[in-house]
Amino acid sequence: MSSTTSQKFRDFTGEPLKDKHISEIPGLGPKLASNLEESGISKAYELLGIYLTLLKNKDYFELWIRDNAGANRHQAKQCADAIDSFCSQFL
Amino acid sequence: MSLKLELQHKLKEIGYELGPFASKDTLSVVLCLHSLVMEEKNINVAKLNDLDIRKQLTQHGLLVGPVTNQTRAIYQRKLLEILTNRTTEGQEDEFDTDEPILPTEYNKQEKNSLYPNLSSIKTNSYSKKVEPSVIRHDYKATKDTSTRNIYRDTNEIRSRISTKINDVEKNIDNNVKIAKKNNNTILYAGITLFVALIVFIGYSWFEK
Repeated sequence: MSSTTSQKFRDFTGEPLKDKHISEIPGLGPKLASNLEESGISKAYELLGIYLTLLKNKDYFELWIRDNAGANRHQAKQCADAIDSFCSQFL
Repeated sequence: MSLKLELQHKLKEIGYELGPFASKDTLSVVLCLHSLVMEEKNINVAKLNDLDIRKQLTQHGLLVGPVTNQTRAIYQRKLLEILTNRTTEGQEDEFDTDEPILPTEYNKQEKNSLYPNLSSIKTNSYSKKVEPSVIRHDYKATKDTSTRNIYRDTNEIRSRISTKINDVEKNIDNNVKIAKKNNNTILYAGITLFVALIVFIGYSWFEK
């Protein structure tokens, strides 16, 4: 199971969010993180909040990430998968 | 770029705040569907207040959360999709890379206007779950056959007492490596070590 996940994914889903920066979310690299910062979002828990407001709907969240961070489909999917795994573990 | 800015400006005037990185395709599709819905059903999706958007979406069967500043754009898009039975996903602007793993959920030519979005999303997620389990099964099968071959090789070496110590050492290394990966073959590693010891003792005894 660990061979299909990256180190970043395992680090993200293995422990509580605390004060992590959005660049620590799998799928979001430095460029996407700076895009989000321009919109005023800098913490990982803010994205978690948006995911929960969308009632944990991965597709809507992927749409949101693509429109607000400029992510492509693959990056958005990675991000949504990571946050969803986090939710299933810690919520 | 200026075309995109124009589209964004137009949408803002109407009342949509889609997000700074929505692709040109998405923006133009939203514009198109908005005017379509205005004409056909006389509903101005952009001017609906949050509660009305939620009511409309739940009437059509979607499970939706609260409509906030962040989520409004998404739900407006969804409402447009539901009312016109078409997708608002467009092609991405630049760097449209290949998608190696994901099956394409939305046809880029908007041919899925006959089918609602929800059912296609569900079937895709099922196909994704099947694939990783199949891959793991194949991996395990190849590992077992390779350990059995090495066991047969060590039996052949036992019959030849002449200078084959290098080969035996290589087999020992292979077996130890495989034993580290899979704990079930520690027994095989022990047997090969025992055989190697016998061969080594025999070799040194005969060479005297």
